[in-house]
Amino acid sequence: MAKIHMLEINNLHVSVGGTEILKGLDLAVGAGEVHAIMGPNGSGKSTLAHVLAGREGYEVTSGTVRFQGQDLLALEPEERAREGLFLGFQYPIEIPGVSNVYLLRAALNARRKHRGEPAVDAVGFLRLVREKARLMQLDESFLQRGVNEGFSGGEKKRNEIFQLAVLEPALAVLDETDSGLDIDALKVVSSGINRLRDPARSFILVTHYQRLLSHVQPDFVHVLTGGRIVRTGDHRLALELEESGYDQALAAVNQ
Amino acid sequence: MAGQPATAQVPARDALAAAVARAVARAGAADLPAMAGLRQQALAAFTERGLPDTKVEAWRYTDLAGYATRLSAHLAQLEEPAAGAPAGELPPALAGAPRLACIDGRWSDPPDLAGVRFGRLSDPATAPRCAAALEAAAAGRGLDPLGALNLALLDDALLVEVADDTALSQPLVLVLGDSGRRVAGQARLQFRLGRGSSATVIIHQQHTTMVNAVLEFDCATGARLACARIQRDADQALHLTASSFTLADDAGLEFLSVDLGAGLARHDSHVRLAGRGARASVLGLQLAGGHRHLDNRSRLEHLAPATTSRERFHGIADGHGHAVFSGLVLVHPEARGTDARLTNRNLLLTGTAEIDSKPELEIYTDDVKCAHGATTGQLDSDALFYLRSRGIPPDIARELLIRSFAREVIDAAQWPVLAEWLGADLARRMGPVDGDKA
Repeated sequence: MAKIHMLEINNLHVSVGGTEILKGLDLAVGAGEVHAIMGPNGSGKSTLAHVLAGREGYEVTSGTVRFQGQDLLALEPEERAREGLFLGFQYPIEIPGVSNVYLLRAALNARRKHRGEPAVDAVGFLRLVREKARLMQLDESFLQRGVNEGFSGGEKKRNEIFQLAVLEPALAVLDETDSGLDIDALKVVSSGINRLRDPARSFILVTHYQRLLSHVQPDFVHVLTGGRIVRTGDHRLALELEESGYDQALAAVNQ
Repeated sequence: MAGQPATAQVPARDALAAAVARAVARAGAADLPAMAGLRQQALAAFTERGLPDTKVEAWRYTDLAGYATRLSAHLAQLEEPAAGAPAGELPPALAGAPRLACIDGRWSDPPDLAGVRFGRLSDPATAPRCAAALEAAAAGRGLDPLGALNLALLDDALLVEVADDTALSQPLVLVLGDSGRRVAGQARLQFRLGRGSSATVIIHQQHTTMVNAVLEFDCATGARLACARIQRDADQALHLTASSFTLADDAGLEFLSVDLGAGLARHDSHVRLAGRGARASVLGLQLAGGHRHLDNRSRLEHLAPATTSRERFHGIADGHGHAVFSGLVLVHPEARGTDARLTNRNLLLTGTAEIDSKPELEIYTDDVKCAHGATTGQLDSDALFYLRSRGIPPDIARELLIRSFAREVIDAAQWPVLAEWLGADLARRMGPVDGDKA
């Protein structure tokens, strides 16, 4: 039976400023699956996340990416978001003077408009964001504050998962969401992710360390290095990497 | 600072000086002796120096030739009676606040306000006090060319004196504008805030012609003044305003200055921290879209020990606009323990717009904490991508970021009534954004 993947990447080559970073990457993500992409610094993990979200400056020289059956690379960043793709940023941007709630309403309405649905009603919207804020243990006053304005590193990451919870995408790509988190914030963030796991929703967790994966157990772990996925395994691969380090794990591949 | 005052071309200068002299003679006929003497003194000061031209460093970016031409042309109209029509629209929340209007250079009747004495040059009963205040101001601060012109030509002036230990519960709203049939001409305000008193003053400038406004505030020991100046002139207006504040011991000032309109506007703000422990916060925003030329020049002068100043000024240049900011923090030798910080940030949105920024520190004592910084840049591409990655189209993402940049100043002022109203006005000027409704 031919199954339509949530995401299907074939032989993806990507250059940044004339330097090839991704060199023939293949990846298939099914609906409801959680995939972890691990790899040493400079392996191309963040490049993958940004290419999927459509950031400028990343040149796709060959390969294809299909998202829910359509050509993802043909879409603008905002179109990808409206089709159900979400990128959780490693370094979320501060936008003072634009409140969190304002951004979320604009984002939600952009997607509803795209789907031919009416704008969200004020009462229902407020109920939704309050409920999701509680889940992420964010104070309600936070909603009226400027986007990430003066937030700590942990608050910014919690805010990313909060946005994810409100926007309910089909595919969430989380770029180093665990970096810069203390253990309490890591627990809040990972329990937020776990609560959002759903048979219709997939996750790609891009991470350098194993520690997020001991809270969010992935279905698949991929090792990305030199612009390619060189090993794939289940969650035990992450533990192996943690214990032996990337060098040893990769030496096994190269033999 | 330029040493020698340069002058406009001689024939034009002489013609203007002669026209000013004729107008002074007409206006002086109705004057009290004290005021007539003051006018003559101002006329002499103006005639000697003329209007500054762009060879003067302080006027490098703003050319007054157009003002001189239009001033000459309009001086003849001064003999016609003033039309006196109300101008401007205000935040609805201020509808009940006491207000005065200065239309075509003439002030309206003042309201009854406990603890406040008003004086007007056009009101025989209170003219002597008003003239004395003008005389004291001229003696105290001297006369720069535009200040001299203002004093020489003014039809009216308003004196507001708030008694000691008086807290004004409502903001005082001053609407400055014109009927459109005559030029706004000269607008003049002397504001005195008594010891330990507090007041909020909102100055709403909405001219369609040309204006040369001089607004002077004196805050006595322990007084607290919150002042907003909102300039929303029509596109063709030619706008000059000088705002000055003198703070005695432990007096506090919060000043918000916003330039959104006019074809050409120059605003000089001068804060004198003259008493020990005085504190000033200055927040400024200018939005130079279209073909607007906006020039804000700010001077924070620390004259006494343990004085504190904070200034944040944001400029935006869009279209063919030109935004100029020069900010000086001047610390005198006796101002030990000064704590000053000046920040200027600018956003350049098109290749045809222009921004000039010049923050300066001049410090004559060692015991200070001073910092200044200025940046000019374009919209942050990381922030644009962040918003687009949430499904927001690029044009709206761009507007949101521009508004964010502007709101940083307005929100820092913490005046909810104004913030909401100004935010809506900014939105109108930058186009609507999805999500404003609902």
